[in-house]
Amino acid sequence: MSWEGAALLMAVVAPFATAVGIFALGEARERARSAVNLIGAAVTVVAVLACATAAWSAEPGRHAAVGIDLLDIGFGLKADMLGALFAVVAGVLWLITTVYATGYMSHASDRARFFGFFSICVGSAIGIALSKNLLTFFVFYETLTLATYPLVVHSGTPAALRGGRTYLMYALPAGGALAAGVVWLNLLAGPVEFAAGGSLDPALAASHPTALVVIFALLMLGLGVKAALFPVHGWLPAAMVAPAPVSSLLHAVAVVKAGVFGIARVVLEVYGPLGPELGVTQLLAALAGFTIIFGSVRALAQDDLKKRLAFSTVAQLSYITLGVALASPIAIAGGLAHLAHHAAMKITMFFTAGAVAEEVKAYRVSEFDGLGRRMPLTMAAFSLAALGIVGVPPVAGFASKWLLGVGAVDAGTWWVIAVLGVSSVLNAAYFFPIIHRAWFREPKAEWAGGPPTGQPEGDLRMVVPLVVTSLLGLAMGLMAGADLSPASWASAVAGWGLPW
Amino acid sequence: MGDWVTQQLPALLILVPFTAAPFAYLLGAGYDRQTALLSAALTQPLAAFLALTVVQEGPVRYAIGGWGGPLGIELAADGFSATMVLVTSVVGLLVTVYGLRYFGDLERYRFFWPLWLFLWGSLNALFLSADIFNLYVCLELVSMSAVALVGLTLRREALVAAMRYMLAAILGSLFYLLGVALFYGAFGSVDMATLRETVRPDVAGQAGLALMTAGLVLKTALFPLHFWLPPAHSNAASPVSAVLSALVVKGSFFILVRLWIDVAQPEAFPGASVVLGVLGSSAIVWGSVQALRQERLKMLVAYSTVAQIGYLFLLFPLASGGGQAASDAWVGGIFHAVSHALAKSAMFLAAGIVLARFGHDRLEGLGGLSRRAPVTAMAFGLAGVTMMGLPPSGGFIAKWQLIKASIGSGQWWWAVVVVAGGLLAAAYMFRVVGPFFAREAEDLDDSDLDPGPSPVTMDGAALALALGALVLGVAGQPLIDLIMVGAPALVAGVTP
Amino acid sequence: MVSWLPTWVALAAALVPLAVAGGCALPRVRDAARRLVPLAALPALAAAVLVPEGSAAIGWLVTGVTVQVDDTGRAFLALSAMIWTAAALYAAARPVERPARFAGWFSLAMAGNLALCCVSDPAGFYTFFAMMALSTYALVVHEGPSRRDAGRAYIVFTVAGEALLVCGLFVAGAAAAGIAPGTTLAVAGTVLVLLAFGIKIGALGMHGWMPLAYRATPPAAAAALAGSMSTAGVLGLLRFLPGGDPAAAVLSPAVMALGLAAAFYGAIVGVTQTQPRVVLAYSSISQFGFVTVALGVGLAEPGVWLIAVSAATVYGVHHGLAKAALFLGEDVAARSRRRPAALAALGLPAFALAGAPLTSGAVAKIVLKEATAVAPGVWNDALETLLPVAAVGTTLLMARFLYLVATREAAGSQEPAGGRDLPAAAAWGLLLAAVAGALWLWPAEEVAYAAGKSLTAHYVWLAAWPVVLGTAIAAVAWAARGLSGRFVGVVPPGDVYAPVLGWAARLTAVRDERPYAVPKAAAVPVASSSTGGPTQLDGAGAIENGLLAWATAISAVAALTVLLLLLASRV
Repeated sequence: MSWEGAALLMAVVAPFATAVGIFALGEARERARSAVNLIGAAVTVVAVLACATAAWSAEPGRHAAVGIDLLDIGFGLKADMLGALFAVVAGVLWLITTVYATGYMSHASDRARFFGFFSICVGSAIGIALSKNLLTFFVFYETLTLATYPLVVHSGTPAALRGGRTYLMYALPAGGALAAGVVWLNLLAGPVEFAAGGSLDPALAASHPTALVVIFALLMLGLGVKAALFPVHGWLPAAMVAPAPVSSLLHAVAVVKAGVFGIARVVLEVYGPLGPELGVTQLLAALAGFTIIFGSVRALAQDDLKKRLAFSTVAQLSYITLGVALASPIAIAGGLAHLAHHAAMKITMFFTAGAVAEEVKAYRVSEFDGLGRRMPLTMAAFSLAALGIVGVPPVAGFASKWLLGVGAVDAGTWWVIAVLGVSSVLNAAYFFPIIHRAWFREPKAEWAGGPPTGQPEGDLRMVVPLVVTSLLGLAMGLMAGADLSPASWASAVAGWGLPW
Repeated sequence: MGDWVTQQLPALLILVPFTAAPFAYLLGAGYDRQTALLSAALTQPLAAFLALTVVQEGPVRYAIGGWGGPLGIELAADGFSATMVLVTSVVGLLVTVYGLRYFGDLERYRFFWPLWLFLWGSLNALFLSADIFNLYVCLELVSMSAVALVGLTLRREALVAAMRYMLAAILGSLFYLLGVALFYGAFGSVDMATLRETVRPDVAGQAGLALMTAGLVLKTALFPLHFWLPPAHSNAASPVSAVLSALVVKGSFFILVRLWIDVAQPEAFPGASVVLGVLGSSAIVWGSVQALRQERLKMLVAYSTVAQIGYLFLLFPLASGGGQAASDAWVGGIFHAVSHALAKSAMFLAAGIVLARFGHDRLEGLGGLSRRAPVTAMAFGLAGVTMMGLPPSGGFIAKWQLIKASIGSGQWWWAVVVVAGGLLAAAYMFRVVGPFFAREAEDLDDSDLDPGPSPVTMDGAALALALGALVLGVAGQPLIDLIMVGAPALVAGVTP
Repeated sequence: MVSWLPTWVALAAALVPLAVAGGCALPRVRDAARRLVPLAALPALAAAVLVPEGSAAIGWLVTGVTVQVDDTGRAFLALSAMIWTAAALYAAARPVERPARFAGWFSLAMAGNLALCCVSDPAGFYTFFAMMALSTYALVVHEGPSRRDAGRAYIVFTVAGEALLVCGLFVAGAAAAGIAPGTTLAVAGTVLVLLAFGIKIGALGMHGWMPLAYRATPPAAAAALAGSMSTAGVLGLLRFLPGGDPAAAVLSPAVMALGLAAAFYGAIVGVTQTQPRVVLAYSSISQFGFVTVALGVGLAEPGVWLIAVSAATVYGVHHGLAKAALFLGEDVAARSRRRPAALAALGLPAFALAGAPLTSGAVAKIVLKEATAVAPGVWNDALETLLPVAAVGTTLLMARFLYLVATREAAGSQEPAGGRDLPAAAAWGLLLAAVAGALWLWPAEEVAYAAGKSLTAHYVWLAAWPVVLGTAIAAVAWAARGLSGRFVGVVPPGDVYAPVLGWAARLTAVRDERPYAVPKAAAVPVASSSTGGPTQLDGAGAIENGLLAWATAISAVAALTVLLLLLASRV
């Protein structure tokens, strides 16, 4: 097996192996468990980076790939630019989140169960990223669906169980729709590989237009739930009962991005030109545009910080969907870049929410007055990320928004520009008040003095990771034009050289 | 391995358990378990080797004592038979291992081992029979030993259930026997290979087929004839429940498939195959709905069996068209039988552990199980993945094939049933699994009966079966190849 | 020397304050860092003078930044550097609570303002523009809760402006990327750019934040805001209005009309105000109206754009310096024990703004006239007659301002004297010197030409009469203050925008929402958790019991057999 192949297998297997190790070690042996967890995460990072190298080094059209056969459709993995982008994001952030989680969960129970399923989720996400065809993708996608459940209900409170139930209510039917779509498409077009520019035979559009449209609808229903597209977004805010690391990595990165990533795969690498031809991508774009506004409006009034962030995620995910659905390589680049950009920024904010909740027991925006004095680094990181989401340069969010906007001009869709403008205002409207409270309101008496003297402002295992991710977000935006930056990466995927 | 032994394999597979059974009885407490274990251990290589031979050299036929039919007893093993024998031996071994500690050497349970070995032997015989009369005999043996096993615990509900089960079984056998008689009268043979050529869709033939089908449907507990199954499967001792749900119901289904797909060509009876399909779909929905309203774990699992049996019957309408779709359906149906066998036995074994540890299996009393018995909970959950037909699991491959077949043969409505069934299964599975994570007041943490962690062999057996069902999902190709060996002409389209 | 190096040096110089701001954020070096703020803008000033023409692209930075040093940028860079230096010096001389924090935000805004003068590409400009605008919020609200309303007004308008701007710049960015947007999109983009920067320069209808923010901000910061940061909006217009693009010509009349209206509106509303700084705010609205008129003329036809650019530049610099000087002077006068002297000194920028002879105003007005003289058709005559009238309004505003400053004591709002008066006065002095000298020393030859021209009798008269007339009217109004007093305070500062701001406040107010509602579906027994039980499915239960009965079972078997028989025999 070539070294690319080895890297691919390792990237997917390592997290699952980690999970097995964690389950085997059980609740009691904490040190060993954490060690296994960290090592597994580190190995995964190395592996995904190797996959990325393979993808980058592969000349156009040829990608490192390895396959195992199952059924008549090959079960296969491959590392292409698009997949590697998502895999690297998930892998790297997993490592950071692991550190954070060891801090956050240090007083929780059932940690073996938690970290075990957590690893499975990441493994599935990476598998999703590196799947070489629709079937493989679907298998990992459903694995992810299931492995997330124990994490959502982890705390075991009635609220948590309710949240988990809501999650399943959305996720499982979606899985059914996805299954039907995948099978149907396989029957119609044979094994559905992912290939840049679309793998479907253009002749199909002429012969089976209706079937293709229905299949697209089924697929989008299946993927839309995880991508939190309106009207199937409802589970995401409900799933916020999960512990902070889950909300951070899974509900801001791995799980939800799996949905949009799937949409990207289907729209760009399965339907390709057929999408606009059948008129389905235009509809998708419109839906995404509406979701952006809808999510932002719902976020406005939320007092519970995690809910506000969740609705913000609903809106932000649709940036990616929107970009992918627009008929312009620049917009596509913008959408895909946002995959990484939003990940770095939103994970920071969820980290913050968790750290603040643990350190000063503040859960609501209305409790944040003057928090900047008590936890300066934490809130600085949060503010930086928030500015990024709003689209203030030079933080990452601006780069993707810029590409989206220019792409919208390129595609000649003026309404997209309007959506972007309105959503910027709304984003500012739900994030700036938090920043204002944290920095410009008078703190409670016990916060006024700053952090307790001689101590850090919080558990460093939480503070350091969130500072790191926020700096990542800043770097991604500040050097968006540099080679290997997510923006350039996404542009390479979209087959469009950056104009700068 | 020599050619001679290859010839003997089918016979050996039957002889080993049958000879072990009386020994287990005679040696009695102390040695019966070892005997059973020995027989189980011996059966494994035989079954594996049979499967290997079938894959490499195609179907095997063997005449006991060297006289061929129509008079002598003939055994035949094609891919389907070998598959069923294989799954029987795997499930059998793990149930045996589980039983070692579950029953211990309680005097009350000493009849388990001989009966179980006897059942095992009869199942193998059933799967390997080549003529419909031997099939009848095996069916009877299976039913009787199964009924006895249900009554094993001597608890009142168990005895009532056993009685109900027995009557149903006898009724079913009666119908089946009638059909056999009609066939013999009409076509002068009971050998399936011969019948395949001679059977005609005339009155006698159709009447015979109808009667046999009715009887077998009753024995397979297809909706609405499932009345005997839930009480029997839920009140039996857990290892017994596992065997009944996983293997016994598959026995009568095996015969049905032989009759319909192999002997009589379904296109001769289009309406009938649709009826079976409709009943199957109703079973899926009805069984799931009933599972949703159960309050006891084992009842829920039993009703899940009622539902899962329904999928098997989708095979008939889907295969009736022939072609690629038919072979997809063939693979899907049998694959489902296999993965369901593994997963369902895992569930019953897990349920058994819960009962043994906490003295009850009331659903509302299972809060926090994942904390008290993580491995058991994990086994149950993983088995649930197969029940829901979610990847990666054997159940997924099966449903994938069935959906493919239904869309491929233009009968998309069956696909809707399959998907819906998966969702319903998810609904009742999570009704159980959800509370595992709970921290309610009525947590298991409050139960003081708990004798502490269950023996690793029991947990291990349950987990192994559940994992087996999952492995089928990622490495199922060999099994598919096996299933397709010597597949009936109707379904031997293109190998998927 | 490498060709691109100097331009990089310019940007680096402009970003020196950023380092200072960083220093102010670190507890250890905070106090050292804030002492450096007055020096932070000097490198930029040097760069403005020394760095030669040139431009260079920095591909990796943000989405690619083009650093550019040209005459326009140079002028604005010099202006900003001068004002920020003076403002920083003044701030250092006055007490302010949490000084390090103030210094940090102050330097951040400074960095953004200076850097945006050095870049010419949409994304790069937007980056620094946003840095400047957003960090200014901290300066507006620095003096505490009492400033929250002003802060809200400022942030609401700023956010709206940023959003409009980024949308407008998408079009410019696409053009930069070699994509030709359709005519409609191109015009739409121009409109968006106009609106966005219009907010910055308080163009009519977008001016609501200006009076509130100017009043709330600490004096030094206010000087920078009014003199330099608002003027950055003018630079933005010069950089991103598609001058010379025939498509944009349709907008020309509207822009000219808007500018003219603002020039008068500012004057009329301004004179009714009761606080000096609010009067200055309305004066800015009016003055930027003049600039808007020039730009409108420039849009009319490709040929005249360059004239408009130089007019807007010169006028922007003149107004910026004068307005900054007025803000500092207002504070000096308020605190100084020798108020008459302060008032006399205040006269210089006031008269300059009014355009009195021998002041920078006279020169700027001539350059402006050069532009308006080429306005198309009827507009030419209209501007010819109306602009001098507006100048009368300016004089009135200045008179009103000086009156308010002079009589402040009578109004009983004497602020406590504090800090070190001499350095403060010195800082102000620097600015006054700049006001007096800038346009006479300006190297560009059209300015020198205008400067020379302004000394000729004809132009002295043209510049003089509006001031004389204005002063006369002011004197009359003062004499008849019983009558004119009725108009005082009729218009609240920030006039028409109270409702908008209230709405914005409600929009972002957190409401204690009940937890996210679980969809109705969750009530279905399907998921009714362990405790739920079978209650909801009793019907199904009854039927099932029926099925479990022997009678049913037997008849079912029979029925099935018969059914199969029938079906079979139909063949």
